Amino acid sequence: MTYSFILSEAVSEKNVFVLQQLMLTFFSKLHNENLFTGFIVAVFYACYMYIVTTYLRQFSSAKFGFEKKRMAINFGLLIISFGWVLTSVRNPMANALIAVAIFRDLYMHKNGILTLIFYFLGLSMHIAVLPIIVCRILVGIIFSRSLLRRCFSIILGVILMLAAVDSNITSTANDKFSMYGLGSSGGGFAEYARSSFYYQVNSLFLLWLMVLNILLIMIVKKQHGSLDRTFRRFLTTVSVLAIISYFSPAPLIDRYGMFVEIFMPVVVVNVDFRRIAMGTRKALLLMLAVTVIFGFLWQLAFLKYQIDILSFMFTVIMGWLSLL
Amino acid sequence: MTFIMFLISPILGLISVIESFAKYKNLNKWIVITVTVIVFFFLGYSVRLTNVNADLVSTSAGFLTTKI
Repeated sequence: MTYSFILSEAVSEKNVFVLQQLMLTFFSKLHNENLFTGFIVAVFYACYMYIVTTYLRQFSSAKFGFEKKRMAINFGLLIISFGWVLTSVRNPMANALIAVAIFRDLYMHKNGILTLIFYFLGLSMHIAVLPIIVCRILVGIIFSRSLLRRCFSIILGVILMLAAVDSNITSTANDKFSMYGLGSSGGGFAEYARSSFYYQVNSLFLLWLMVLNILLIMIVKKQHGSLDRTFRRFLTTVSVLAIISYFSPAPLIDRYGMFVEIFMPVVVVNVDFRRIAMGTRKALLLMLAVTVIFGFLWQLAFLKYQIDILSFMFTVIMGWLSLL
Repeated sequence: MTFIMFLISPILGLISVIESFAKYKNLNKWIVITVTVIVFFFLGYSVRLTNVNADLVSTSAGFLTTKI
């Protein structure tokens, strides 16, 4: 398999999802699985860190104190399951790339070529991010403040539609929808997802996170927090999409739930706990603490299930020495 | 300080750089991102997969051979 063969085949078949093939070919040529597993998590957490640090950097320490900033960064690191990122391979990477594009687009309002490249990279990695892009376009058309931004959303939608008609996006999406969508059997994946204990717990945890996310967004809205209105509505829409996907024939909440998880630190940091009544504040902090603790323990449990955790811990504690 | 922590263990380095980022205004975010990339690449690299379930079939060598 040569790269030029894959590229020319992709051009002749009008295959948008060529990035995943190129990536897999590249790593299968290296004959070292560890390089691939390292690459997956590095891409995902780089995107996560980019979003959170870019967001937090804008605010002075008077607005968000040292403790709050540190808590926000660690919150995401603790709830996002490292093992899940590692084993789902293309989907978390696609989610992370789309998250960067969405953040640059909806929050920073940078609609340059780089944002479009991130949109394309994410879509090219995995078809599952298509509903997120559709949500982005719909939210942009309905809720944008200025006419210019509304027009941009419409243009993005038209570009996507033209690209979808002219390439294999439509046919792939149709295949996926008839396999996993409403009224289908859910395929072999649904059977696996229902029988696996780890999958069920993960989905339930994500369902809880989505509910918590919507609750936090409602609090931020009530307090007139600094979270951008369009951005907030978009996050609510995707959370609802994730909750709906939990009840679809094949539970797909790990796809969209993971996407929302990336943005949860941004929501949490906007909640002004001092302005909440004492009793409610205590309950909310307890809920967040339980979520973080469970998230961390769950990560360890999942890792224990799939990797040799003792040798992993040993490697981590020994640090660089063990790489030699 | 971060650098020393980083040399001892990558995880300590990550914790330390997050602390510094939250504390000091002048720390460039790209330093934090670079440290994150290095640390998580190292973490992913040290993983030895043991349990070959449906998730892992799609990730490890099996996927690379069947998909392509």
